[in-house]
Amino acid sequence: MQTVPRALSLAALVTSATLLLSLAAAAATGTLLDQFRAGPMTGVDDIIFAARRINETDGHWYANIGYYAHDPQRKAWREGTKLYRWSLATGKLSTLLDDPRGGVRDPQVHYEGGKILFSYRKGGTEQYHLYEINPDGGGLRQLTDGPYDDIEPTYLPDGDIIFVSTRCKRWVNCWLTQVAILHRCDANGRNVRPISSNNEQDNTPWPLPDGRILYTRWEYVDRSQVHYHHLWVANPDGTSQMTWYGNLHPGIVMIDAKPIPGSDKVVASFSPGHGQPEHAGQITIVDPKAGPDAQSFAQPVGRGNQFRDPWAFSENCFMAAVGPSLVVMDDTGKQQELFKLPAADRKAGLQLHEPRPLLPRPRERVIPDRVDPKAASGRLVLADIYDGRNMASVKRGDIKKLLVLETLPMPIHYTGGMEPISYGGTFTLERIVGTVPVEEDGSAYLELPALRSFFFVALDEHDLSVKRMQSFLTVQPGETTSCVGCHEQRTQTPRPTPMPLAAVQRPPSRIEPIAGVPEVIDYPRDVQPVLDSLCASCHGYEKTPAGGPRAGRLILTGDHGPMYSHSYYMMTIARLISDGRNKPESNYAPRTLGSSASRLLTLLDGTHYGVKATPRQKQMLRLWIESGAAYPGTYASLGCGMIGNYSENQEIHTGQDWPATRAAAEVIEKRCAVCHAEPARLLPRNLADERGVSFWEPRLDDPRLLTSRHIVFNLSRPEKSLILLAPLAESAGGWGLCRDPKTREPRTVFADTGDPGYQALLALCVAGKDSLAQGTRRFDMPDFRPRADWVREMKRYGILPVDLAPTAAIDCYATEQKYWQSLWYLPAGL
Amino acid sequence: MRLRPHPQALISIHNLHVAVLACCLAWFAPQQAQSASLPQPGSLSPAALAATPDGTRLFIACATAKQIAVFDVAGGNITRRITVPHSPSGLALSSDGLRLYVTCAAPHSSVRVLDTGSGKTLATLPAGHTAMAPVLSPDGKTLFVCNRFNNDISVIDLGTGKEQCRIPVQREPVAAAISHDGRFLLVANHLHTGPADAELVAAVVSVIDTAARKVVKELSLPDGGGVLNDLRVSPDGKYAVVTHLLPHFRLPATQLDRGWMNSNAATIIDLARMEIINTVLLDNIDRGAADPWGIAWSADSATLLITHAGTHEVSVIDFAATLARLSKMPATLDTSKPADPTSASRVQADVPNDLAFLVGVRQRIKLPQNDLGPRSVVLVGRKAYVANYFSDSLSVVDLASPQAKPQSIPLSSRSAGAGAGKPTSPLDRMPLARKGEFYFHDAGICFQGWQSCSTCHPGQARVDGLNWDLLNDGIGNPKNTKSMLLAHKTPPAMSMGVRDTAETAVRAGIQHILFTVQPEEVAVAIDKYLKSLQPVPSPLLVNGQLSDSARRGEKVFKDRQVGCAACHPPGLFTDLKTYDVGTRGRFDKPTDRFDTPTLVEGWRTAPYLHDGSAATMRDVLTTHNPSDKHGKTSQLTPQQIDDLAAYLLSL
Repeated sequence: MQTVPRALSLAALVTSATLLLSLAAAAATGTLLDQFRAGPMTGVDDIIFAARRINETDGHWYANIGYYAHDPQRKAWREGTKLYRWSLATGKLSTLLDDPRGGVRDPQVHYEGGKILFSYRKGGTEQYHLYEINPDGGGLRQLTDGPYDDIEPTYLPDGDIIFVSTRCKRWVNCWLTQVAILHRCDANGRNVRPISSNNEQDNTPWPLPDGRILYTRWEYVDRSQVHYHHLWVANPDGTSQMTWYGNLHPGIVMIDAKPIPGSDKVVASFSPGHGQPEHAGQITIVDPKAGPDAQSFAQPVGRGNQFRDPWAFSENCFMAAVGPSLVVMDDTGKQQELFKLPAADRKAGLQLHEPRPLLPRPRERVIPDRVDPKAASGRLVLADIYDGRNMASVKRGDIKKLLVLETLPMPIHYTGGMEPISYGGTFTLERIVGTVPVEEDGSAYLELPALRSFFFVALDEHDLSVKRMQSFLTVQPGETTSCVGCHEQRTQTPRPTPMPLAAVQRPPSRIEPIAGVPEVIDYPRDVQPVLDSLCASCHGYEKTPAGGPRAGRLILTGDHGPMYSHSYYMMTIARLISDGRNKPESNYAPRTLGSSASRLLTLLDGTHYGVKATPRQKQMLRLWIESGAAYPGTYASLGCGMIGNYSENQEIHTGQDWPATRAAAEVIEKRCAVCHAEPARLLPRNLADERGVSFWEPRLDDPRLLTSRHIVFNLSRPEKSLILLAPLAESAGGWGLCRDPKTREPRTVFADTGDPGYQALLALCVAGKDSLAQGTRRFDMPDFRPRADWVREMKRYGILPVDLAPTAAIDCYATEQKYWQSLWYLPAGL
Repeated sequence: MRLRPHPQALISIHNLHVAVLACCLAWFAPQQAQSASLPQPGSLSPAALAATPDGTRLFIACATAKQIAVFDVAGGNITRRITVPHSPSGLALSSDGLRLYVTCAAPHSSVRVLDTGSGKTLATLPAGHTAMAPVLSPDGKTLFVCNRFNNDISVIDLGTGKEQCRIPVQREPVAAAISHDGRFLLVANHLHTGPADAELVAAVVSVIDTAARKVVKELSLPDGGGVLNDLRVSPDGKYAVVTHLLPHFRLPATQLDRGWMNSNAATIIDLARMEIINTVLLDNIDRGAADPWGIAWSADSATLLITHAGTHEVSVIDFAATLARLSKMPATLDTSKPADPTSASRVQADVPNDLAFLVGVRQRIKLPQNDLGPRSVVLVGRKAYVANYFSDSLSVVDLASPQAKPQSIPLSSRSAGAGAGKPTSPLDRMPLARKGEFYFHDAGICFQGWQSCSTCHPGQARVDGLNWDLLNDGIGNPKNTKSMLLAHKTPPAMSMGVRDTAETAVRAGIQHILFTVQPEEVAVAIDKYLKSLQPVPSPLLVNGQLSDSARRGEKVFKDRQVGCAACHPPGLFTDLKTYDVGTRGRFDKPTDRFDTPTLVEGWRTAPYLHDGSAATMRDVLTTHNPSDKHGKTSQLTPQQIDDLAAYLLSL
């Protein structure tokens, strides 16, 4: 690999007089550092660290690589960096690398202490790659390259390197930056291969003394987007991925975890809530021996949550970065600042990052590679599905099969929300892969395609959900593993089972696809027709002999609202379906999530006005619910075809500047607000007005949802808008629903459609309809075209031709299928 | 000098015809100690400890040096070495501290009675095959001795020096302890006795009524429980604790994480009720504590010490707190109360699967780096002395100052290292076979320390009696553990012969069973050790010769009509080929063929057949050979079957 001329030789290193001053304080006898240097820090003479600017406009811990979805020119990284070596003994600061436009991060000292592995974005380039450099600043060597970011590398005891990389070609499912997941390469940066299939970030891998890799895995399969970023372990070949600490309890980004020498414990940064910039947090000692769920076994060291990159020399001696400073701390929280970046660096906005002692360290144990790169799949043995932490109400024999679902990577995303994938539910499309049998004894044995993110729903004899997994698992090529820590209590050894398990007495089950059902269900295409045939005659806008319009105040037509269809929105808020929502909860009781808890299915069994779904219809509804009950079946739906959707958490396309919006707002103010004055009955003033309801986490019992913008405006058939039909006299074709809030007497607001107020409101709905038709269309509209950003990324991934004509038709479903299939693991030569 | 009484017993495949004759000579002649411990020239192999009542001296049974070392506690050095005739395997000290009873293990064992003052031999008492674990009755009048390979207990009247009777127990009694009133002797059976495919496969603790001189109760360990190593009664007389393994042998051996294959346990017995209270795991969730071995109690019965021979550690358990936890555990779940989803133990039956049960009441102490293979342990006041089998050293753990690092005391000039410089690793001084023996017993080379080779191959690389579903021949078809004796001379390895040689199997085992990467020298040393294993003479031999019944059986064996010798020709007793002999079980494929095993030492490798489905040799010959495919046995009379079994069990 090439040598980069920026590297400085030791001869050119600069010593700053100001640094000697700060050292003088530390050198005074009896300081914390003196005690440490006589004890756990014996032999530590030099500290290596990076200095760089942080992304001051984005607080997400991961938002420091690549560019933003809507503007490739807007970078998440900043320019200006140094790799420093600071002598504890003499106070001399040596600059190993200085790049005013570059970025240096994540240095790690080699086992022998003779070289430093780090991630470096060379000034003038876009991406971070892995490099090595000698501790004297010489020998800079580039290990990886390509149009990806490779960061957070760690040496493995067998000589290879594990790091996280954006080679996985996916974006955060709830933000507008890219995802980096675990990859492995050899000592020369060759033979790069993914060992994770996460849809979200993996971070800061580091070997444990026993040879496993401890890392942070952020994930959300049908649970909160901002609460599950805890500590996981995997073997260095990616096998045996399992939770290590925290996954049951929501909150805290547990990151930068490293073993504490001489103990089984780990020191980590516990970055509060959904994390702070550059994973600043509280230095915390985690003791794993009571299991991943024992919260009291994580003990904070001292106070303060602005520490970064903690390093433990022992259980009572820590080093960390704070802003531009390097500190040491004892187990009581007593701390001493050792060093501060030179004034010029501080003025330039540089902060101190990732301090590590320049010291040889013992190699961890080597775990033999169990991956067979020639295999396309791995195998999973599930010992006893009934042995679970929350399975008490399930009778042995109840579970007949597992529905296998795959949580699909996202090619691009634009905001912190999930719209229009769902309303407060899933962010991620879930692909229906098929089913595998569960034996009488509760065992299952299945073959899973390697390196994909699967999760299971346990189904009963009626194919209804008994228990839903809210995490995902990955098998490596050729791996045979058994379920540990998914069903049983985490500190439990396997319980006695029959021998051998019934499931392993036959070849592994191949996943049986479900015939006649699309892999990814698209609600308007696949579900709405079922509702149209079974429900819309009563729950529509037309007066019908069967009971319409709006029987039971429920609308189940496919008319467009500003973001969703009316039926999609109504099914969600009426809780006709049960999903995990965007909630910090998991391990639900049996039969409380999915099809078995969804009223929609029981209403269609003949007991509700004789309406009975055909088996085929029922299957479609059931599988739609199990696969996350999403609205679109394509990620191309993101960021377009909506009014008042979000971009970087700000509402856009609000239509607030339309004349029709202003006129309608005046009518609502003057004509409607007289009665609709209480907060609970407030009407939206425009197509984007949420009226204070949280878009991210709406409470489904919030009465305001019944008159929200998502249901009162009909952008398919404007005259069928509730905001028009309710106040319009029945004699004029309206519903005359308005009542005096006090007397409950009928109150006709619009006697006829000629009322200028009526016309103004209608004009708003028409404007909304026109906007969808003329502007960015919705995914289910004719001539739909995905956003240019989606097209750009699909070209970057090699899925769409680079020279695709701007007007060329795009089948977004087929393109996306090609996209996620392109990420599937294929053994070389196949 | 190498202790190998019959070097001609080593068989060379290239020279089989010579070997056949040599073997017969070797195995039927009386042998010297070649039983629980392998001769290892120059090593001590401290295997048992006893402390004088005043705590001033320790007696250390040095198994491979055939000596008792007398250790002065105050001086920290050996003051005397007393030679005994065979490998000293167990020690019992009279309550006045004047007499030391030493079991000397051999096919014809003896018990040396030593004067602790002079070191002189006061008497030599008879015992059975591979005697160990001597226990004195509280009145000091009777000595009980475990005859490991006779599967019985000698009751010796110390007044007359005569053996009064033998009390049969289950299998390989290796440890025993007596209740304070002397009424009950509890005996730890090393292995289970049934078929390996039974619903419950577990070893038992035999409870002997000393007056009635018979087993009156058997306390079964949880399913899988076996490889018992020590059993001790608390000083207050209320409890007994036994160390053992708790394997999860019914699942495919896909991983070790969280005790998936082996967990390591102690079972607590309430002596008043003579019932098992519960079994607690000694491992941590991601760090096994392989091969629990010796037990010691503090004088106040509040602290329990257990050595971990595989991970070179000592567990210090707050026994009172452990009991309190156990007593709070309900028998059945109270469904009216919300259950704590994070607790593995909600009812008593959960405890044997709870890797966190001892969290907070147990301290794991790593012994000094060069102290290897801790087995026996005694407590003198608050100081624990641990005998390290492979490093020939004592570790001293001061319980009074838990922060203090354990000290290491070498027991021989060799183990002290050369010169006063940096202590060298004991491994550097070991001959290759000894090194191999160490690695074989070392869980330090296993992922997270869950198990060593010896965990499934205890008793010098023999068997645990369990079926394991290793992935090397597919999944769902468990196979019975094979002895490593003669493995290198009888390729291929594994029941289906999936490894071409034992050398290949050793390396595969390191990678796929210990889940570790080790330098080739580790495998080479293990090969050397396994090749050095010598057959132990059968307990069925009479004065080293075949019994009359076995002689008759030999004729049946060689009868061409019966056909045993065709595939099991004398010598190695295998033709090294695979066959279908009608033993396929319900988990085998119709095309499966099985490697012909050696019959040497068949007396100690039960259960039999590739799937461990035959509990006895008789079963092999009768119920498991319905179609006469495994030799023609259906025409044999019951007497002939007995004779043939007697012969097979004499090899």
